[in-house]
Amino acid sequence: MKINPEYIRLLKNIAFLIIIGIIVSFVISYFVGNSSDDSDQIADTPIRVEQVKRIAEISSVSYTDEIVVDSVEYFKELDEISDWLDAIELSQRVLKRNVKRRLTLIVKGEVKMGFDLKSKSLKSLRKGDTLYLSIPQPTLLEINLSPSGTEIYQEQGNWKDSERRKLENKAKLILIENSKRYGLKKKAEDSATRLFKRLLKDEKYVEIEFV
Amino acid sequence: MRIHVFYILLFLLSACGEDKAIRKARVMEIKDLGELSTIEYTIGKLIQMDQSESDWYKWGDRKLLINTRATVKAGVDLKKLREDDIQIKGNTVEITLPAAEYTSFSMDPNYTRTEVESISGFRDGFTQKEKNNFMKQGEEAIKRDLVELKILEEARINAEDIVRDFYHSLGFEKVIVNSKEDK
Repeated sequence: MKINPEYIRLLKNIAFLIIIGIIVSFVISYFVGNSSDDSDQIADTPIRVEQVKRIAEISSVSYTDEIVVDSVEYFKELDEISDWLDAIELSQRVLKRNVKRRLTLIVKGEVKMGFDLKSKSLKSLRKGDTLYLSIPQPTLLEINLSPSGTEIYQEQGNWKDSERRKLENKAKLILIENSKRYGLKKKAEDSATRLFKRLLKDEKYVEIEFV
Repeated sequence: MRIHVFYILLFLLSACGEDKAIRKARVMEIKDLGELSTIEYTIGKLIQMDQSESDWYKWGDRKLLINTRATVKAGVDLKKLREDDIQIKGNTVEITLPAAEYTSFSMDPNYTRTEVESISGFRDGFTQKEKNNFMKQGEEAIKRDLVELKILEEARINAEDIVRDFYHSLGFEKVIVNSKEDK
């Protein structure tokens, strides 16, 4: 079978163009665009103490979880391609995924429930051999998130800080909802009961109620 | 031939996108605690990144300034109390508290603000992934610098006061509170 020399010439030209394209993209990525990687170090700036507060909180139970929060924006099907030079947009359109922007976070957070003894104090009453202890109802003391527990799993397109913050707040709300679902309040009471009985180990009878 | 060229282009285009399947959550834990937090510090830090010097061969600069805030709590873990750490004799109680430790650390995203983001030349803006990486470094730096603040010492003194008040409120006349050395 004889191959048309025109086809061979065309293939050679395409191969040549691809090689040139690769070289140009390497040169451009070297001199233009981002270069951040894990080796980029922030400047050494001092910390500043903004507030110091004396507190009295007993955390009796914690709930730790990883929450996946995702935000996706699609191209409207009828819209025309807005930027013919945007390779991501072209690939998304050709492959019919139509994803314009996407941000997926995996947020590891911790919820602590317990007792704020500053706002409501403990009350005790001794009657004969029995010590009655009135403890305020357990409340949500803190929801801890931190950058080290946050992973930007997927980022496509440009995202504002406020949009990312919205996702992180969504993760917080999910953590709060889950803590209710898992009965954290009851667990906090049970754990506190055990703790106070331990602190009063030689008392004959201790009655604890949550008011 | 046209079909071949189309498939080559399609392959190249598909390589440009980055789609990952969302993985499932990994950790879920509910834990009994007995932490008595006695002091809370609110700490601010400026996270500063200037790539004009490190990337001198690039056309343009990228500068970033993020203002962030961390909340640190410290106190004692009452779950670490051993049987012989509490001695009660009549109206006297003697308790030896465990060493003070950090009980929580949080960097609320609502208190994080990008103050300056300066991009010039042919450079791209900072991605959220990059910003999170810088924030992680900021978090590590705050944790490193906490040692200089003597938070644990204050936490221990406050814990002793709170425990003393607790036993007094229960009717104990003499309360002796000791502490183990801070971590």
